[in-house]
Amino acid sequence: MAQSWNIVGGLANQISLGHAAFFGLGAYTSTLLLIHFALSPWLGFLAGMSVAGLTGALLSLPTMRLRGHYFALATLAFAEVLRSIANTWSSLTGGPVGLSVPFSAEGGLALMQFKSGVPFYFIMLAMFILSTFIYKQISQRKIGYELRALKANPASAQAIGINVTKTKILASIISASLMGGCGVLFVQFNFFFDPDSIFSLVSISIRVALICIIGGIGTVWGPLIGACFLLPLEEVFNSTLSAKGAGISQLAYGLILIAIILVEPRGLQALFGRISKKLGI
Amino acid sequence: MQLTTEILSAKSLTRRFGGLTVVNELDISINKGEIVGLIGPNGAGKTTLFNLLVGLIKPSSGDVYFEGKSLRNYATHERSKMGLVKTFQNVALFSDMSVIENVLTGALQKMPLKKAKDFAYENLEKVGLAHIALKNAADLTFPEKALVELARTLCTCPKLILLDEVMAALNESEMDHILDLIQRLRNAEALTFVVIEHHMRAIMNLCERIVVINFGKKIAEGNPSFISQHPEVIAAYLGNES
Repeated sequence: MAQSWNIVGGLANQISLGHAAFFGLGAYTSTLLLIHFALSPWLGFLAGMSVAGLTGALLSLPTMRLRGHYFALATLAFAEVLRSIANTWSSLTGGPVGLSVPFSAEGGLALMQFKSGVPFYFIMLAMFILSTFIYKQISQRKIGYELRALKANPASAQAIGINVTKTKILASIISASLMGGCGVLFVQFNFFFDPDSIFSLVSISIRVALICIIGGIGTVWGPLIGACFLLPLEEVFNSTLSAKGAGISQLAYGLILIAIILVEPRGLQALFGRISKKLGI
Repeated sequence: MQLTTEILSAKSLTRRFGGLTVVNELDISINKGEIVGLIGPNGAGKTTLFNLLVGLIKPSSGDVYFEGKSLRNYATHERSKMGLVKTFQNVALFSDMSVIENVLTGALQKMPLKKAKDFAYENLEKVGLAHIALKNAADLTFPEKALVELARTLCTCPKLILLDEVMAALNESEMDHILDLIQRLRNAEALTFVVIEHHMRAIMNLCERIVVINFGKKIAEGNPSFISQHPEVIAAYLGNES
């Protein structure tokens, strides 16, 4: 998930706070197809990616001229709009009650339902490898150079022949469709979701952005480092500190994030690099 | 006598910003293989004219022609692909990329990755900077940055390069290096240059023809010795220098 955000956020420096939109679209697409047409989640996965990717392309048309805070706010608003729609359009989405993935007792590969968590572990791993591979490919190819050029200097990027519109739309499609794919996997694993959890600003949109920023924005391993650090940290704080008083765990969590960014604004990856340089490794 | 062919022209080009007319009914014509100087006092409209030519700014009226074709409906990146490229005042490298990555991004607009890498090195070699290929662009000195930008521009296979003050802040020997380089490129690769420059010695030595603009209007045009003695030019520009 974080890796998909990294394509838009890291390479092009377009800080999106609305990636939950694509996550949710992927989830709804595959689940609705499964409920109404008994379509295998594997095909639903592709459908979810397509819907999310298409939406990403359409969303990038009006937002591509925006920069910095304005881009962030526009994407944030878009995810919130989808959340409201999903909450009110009950006939399609089940409204605030949410949707359940039809449960089948036997499970099986075709339905992407398993009795143990192990197969899912491998599916998630595959997804991670796929998105990291795509990120790496992109960053070493024409579009990767173009995105970085656009981020550094849009005017001179155009002057040397880069088509801004095309490049941004393409990046947005790739990023959104990967995020949509993650949404499909998430619901297949959890069986149940509702609009507030799937289009969540805090637990999805901001979290993926945070993971990249803390891990190392625009780097291949930054999202992995960020995820391996932030998610356990959050859990540990929640379980140890939450008994001692309301809000203490969030406070400590927040303080640590602030400390990291103050020490090394480029994130943990750069911090590790600095430490190992100092130690002479 | 050699036949001259026009490569770029502007016909009654005008750009207004609110009530201010920055470029005013300007006609300009550049021949293939020429090195033309564009001078004028600060705020005369030189950089705006360059931006109009490459399409970063749209004209209020008038039109630009490249190789006889109207550029009205062509965006900046399309003009670049046709061979009309400009460099930027104060130099605009992609700062978090290395020197070679900067140059490579230019080459990738014209060719696939593998070929582009060779071509990028070739052009770095041409400007004499192959030894700093892996340095970060942000860590370069100003003269190095100017040369990298030139190499990046060369990678797009241009026909006409608009150079916006590449020689600002250079010392004499660095300037000689760039002057020599521009002349060599023109001769070896049949390139055409239009240069904005404040340094009089540079412009007088380099250019066959100089266009002087002030308040967005052309006030004089001719060879260097003609321009340096033109009373209106001296009043508007050279007079202010001493």
